[in-house]
Amino acid sequence: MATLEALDRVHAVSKVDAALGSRLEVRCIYASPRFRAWAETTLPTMEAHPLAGTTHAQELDTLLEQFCAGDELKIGPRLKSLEHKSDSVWELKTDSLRLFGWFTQRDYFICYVADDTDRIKQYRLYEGYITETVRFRDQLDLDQPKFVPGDDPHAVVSNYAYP
Amino acid sequence: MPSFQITLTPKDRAAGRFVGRVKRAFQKALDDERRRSGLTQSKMARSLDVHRSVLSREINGNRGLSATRIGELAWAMGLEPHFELRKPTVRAGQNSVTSAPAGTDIGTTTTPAQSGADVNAMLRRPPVPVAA
Repeated sequence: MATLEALDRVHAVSKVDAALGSRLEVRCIYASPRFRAWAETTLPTMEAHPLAGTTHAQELDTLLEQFCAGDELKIGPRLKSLEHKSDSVWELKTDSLRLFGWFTQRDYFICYVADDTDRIKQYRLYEGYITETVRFRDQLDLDQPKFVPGDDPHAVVSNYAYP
Repeated sequence: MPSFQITLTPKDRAAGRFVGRVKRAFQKALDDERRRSGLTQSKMARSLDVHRSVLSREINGNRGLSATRIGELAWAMGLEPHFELRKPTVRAGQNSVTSAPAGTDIGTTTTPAQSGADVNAMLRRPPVPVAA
């Protein structure tokens, strides 16, 4: 069993640098090797909708900044940027992207996999991604408790709001 | 394995984050106006003569917004956009000054960073005229 920092040192996860500049890090995200590989190879090649104002990479960068800097997260029936799926797996959202992972403690998110929203819906990948996230979580040699159980947003993030 | 960043040019990162702040400002303003005056996206869409789904993509989605459109959306909310350009904030010891264009003096200041924390400042209710 190991801490997140120790797992980072052996490449089991990688801490995401949200490029906060002068802003302080309030929350943090760790990436699985799969998410990191996707962010480094697939994400830059993803084409935005012709009417989109930003690319997928810009959307993700903005989400990472918002999350890590501790900006207010919308949770609820509308405009949500964070949603519980099942098995204590949570989804961080932009308009074009979905990130699946879990919280090891409040404000500490491990992202296992991310993909294009339309692709996930078209190929019905939700259940598969949730199952794979749970499998990765089970196999990760992380100190217990590995995750915050349940669907209570207060238990997993600070500074959130129901729109 | 060191931490990693999303690969973006400083220009694209700055632009994307600005767009994100504008969108969040509209979302927050719509929430506030909904509570204050009952404004809905449907009412806004009617006053702008567009389908509600178009408006939703503009405010909640990633559809691009021109400066003209920002003015129109703010008008439909009964608000005025507040636009300001200022030097980025640099904290002592920060190592990200290379994100500024060459030749730009970004200075050092203690004012709050233009960030998600101050999206409220982007949209304001116009002042109420004082009767003569």
